Amino acid sequence: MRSYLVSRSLRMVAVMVALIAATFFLSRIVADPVALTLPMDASPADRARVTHELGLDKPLPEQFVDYLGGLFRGDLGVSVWQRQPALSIVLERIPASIVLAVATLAVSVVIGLAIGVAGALRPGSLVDRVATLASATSVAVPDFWLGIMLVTLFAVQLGWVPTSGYGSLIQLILPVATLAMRPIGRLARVSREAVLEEMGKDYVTAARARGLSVMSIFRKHVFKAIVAVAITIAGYDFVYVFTGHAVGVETVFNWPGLGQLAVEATLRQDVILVSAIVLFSGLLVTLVNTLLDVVHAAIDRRVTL
Amino acid sequence: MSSTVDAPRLSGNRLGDRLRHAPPLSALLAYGFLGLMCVVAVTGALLTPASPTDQDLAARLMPPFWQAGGSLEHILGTDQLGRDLLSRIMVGARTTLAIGVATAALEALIGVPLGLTAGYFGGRLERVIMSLTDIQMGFPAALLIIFIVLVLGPGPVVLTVAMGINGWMIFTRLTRVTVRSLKTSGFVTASVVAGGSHRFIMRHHLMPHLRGPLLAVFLLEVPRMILAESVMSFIGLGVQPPTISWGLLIGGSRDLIAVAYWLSLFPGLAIVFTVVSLYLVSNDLAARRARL
Repeated sequence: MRSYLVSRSLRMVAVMVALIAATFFLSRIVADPVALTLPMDASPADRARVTHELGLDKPLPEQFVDYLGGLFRGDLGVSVWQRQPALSIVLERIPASIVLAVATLAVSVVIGLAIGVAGALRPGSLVDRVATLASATSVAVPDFWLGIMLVTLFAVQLGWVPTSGYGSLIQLILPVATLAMRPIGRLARVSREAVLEEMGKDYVTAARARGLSVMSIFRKHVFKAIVAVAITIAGYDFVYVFTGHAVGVETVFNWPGLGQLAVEATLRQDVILVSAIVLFSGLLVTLVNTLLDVVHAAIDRRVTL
Repeated sequence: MSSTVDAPRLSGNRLGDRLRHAPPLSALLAYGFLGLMCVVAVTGALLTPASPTDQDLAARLMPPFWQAGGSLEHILGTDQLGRDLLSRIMVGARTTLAIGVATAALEALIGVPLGLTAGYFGGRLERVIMSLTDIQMGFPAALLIIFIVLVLGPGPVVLTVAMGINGWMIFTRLTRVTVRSLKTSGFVTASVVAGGSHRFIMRHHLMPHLRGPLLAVFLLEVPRMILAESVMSFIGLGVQPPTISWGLLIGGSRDLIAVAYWLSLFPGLAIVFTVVSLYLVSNDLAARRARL
């Protein structure tokens, strides 16, 4: 376990360093921050002044050290679009992303496990077949399009919920339903397999031979085994929202999360803000992924072998 | 990708054999649909019932033909400028499929040589390549793709490159694992003893065995990239008008969902059918390989 912890932490640091290097490369070398800061008709003198202010006239290694130093102080640069520190703009959007991620996680774990277990307890039944088909299809449906279809049906036609927006519980329903589709499908599939595998083991047969009912075996033994698996899988789905994969759904529902911010900043050519978003969520996700892997390894010792 | 498949080589030519090994109905439908899409993608605007770009302000926002106000002239209805939706979806097939296939191909182009090198030579080279793969797996891919589009400017080529360099890892992993297990097999050892060069062994002993698994992964990556392209085009950071893609069609009608549901319904269904078909075909090919 200890050697696993060490190697996993090393990998985490490597990912973080590579991510910082990638954003540095993209925002300083491929993009031209000076041209993006100044109006089109800026004089050469202005260009020279801004180049100096941004520290772009220094040698590259020195720029990289400055860049790293800024990161450690929590300085991710100033947004060209909003003229505010990029970090504070990013932090403003975090609550909306967290709300979306937590609600999606809760809904998908409950529903996904319920469907998976129901199917596994009666394999081949109608419930099982419908669930299997649905979870296979869920991978093929673009989530943003599903969101639009749900809006058309439940907001426009039926008028049960608002079309978009952020702030109240009722506005949460459609975005969460949309985003939960894939995790529900995946969790249903994984928990079904897990239950079937666990129920096929010798100790279950032995317990049944001793006269215990299927339900009591399930409650006492099998359930524990699948919850552990489900939690780690759900964890990776939680991370999903923070890696910008919810960007289409956030756009559909006008949800002020990180993904929408990334799109707005990109449409306004705000390289500094976008690189701040990439760095912030990239580092966060790397940390969370590492923790999840460690938790997973602690639950399932086979991982560390 | 063609819609024809290698017949199982070991089975005879007898009709009974053929029927027994025929793909299930769902897979047949998938082959048919993909074949149709390929024809549509290749022919572009040649086969469309109407011009995909001609505007007709008198026929704006017409619903599909089975609804009141619709006509057979515009089977799936028209958009806010009176352009025929079916024709636009047909023309969009080319962009969407081309980007999906090109991105998956780029991923393979990056991933397979890396995996081949790692699996065949092993040692330090393998460790370096696999660390790179792990690092790339840890990156927030969607955000990096957006970032690259911002820095290089939107468009089909940039999108393909941005998605490809963020998604090659699965090819590396698969190739490496397969090559590692092949390396110890008798025919490779024999070839080494017989003086076969590394290149010869890779080409004539390893690649033939890799083709099947790689094709399966390729056929799963194409739909994944089609979905990715559609999101990017939908949010305005992918394909730019006047080029047409399915995601862009949905994006262009976002403000009209209250009045014209068909403008987002049908391009979305085109995506879903294509993606499902690719999954089914990939499954069917895997099942055939398992039988051999």
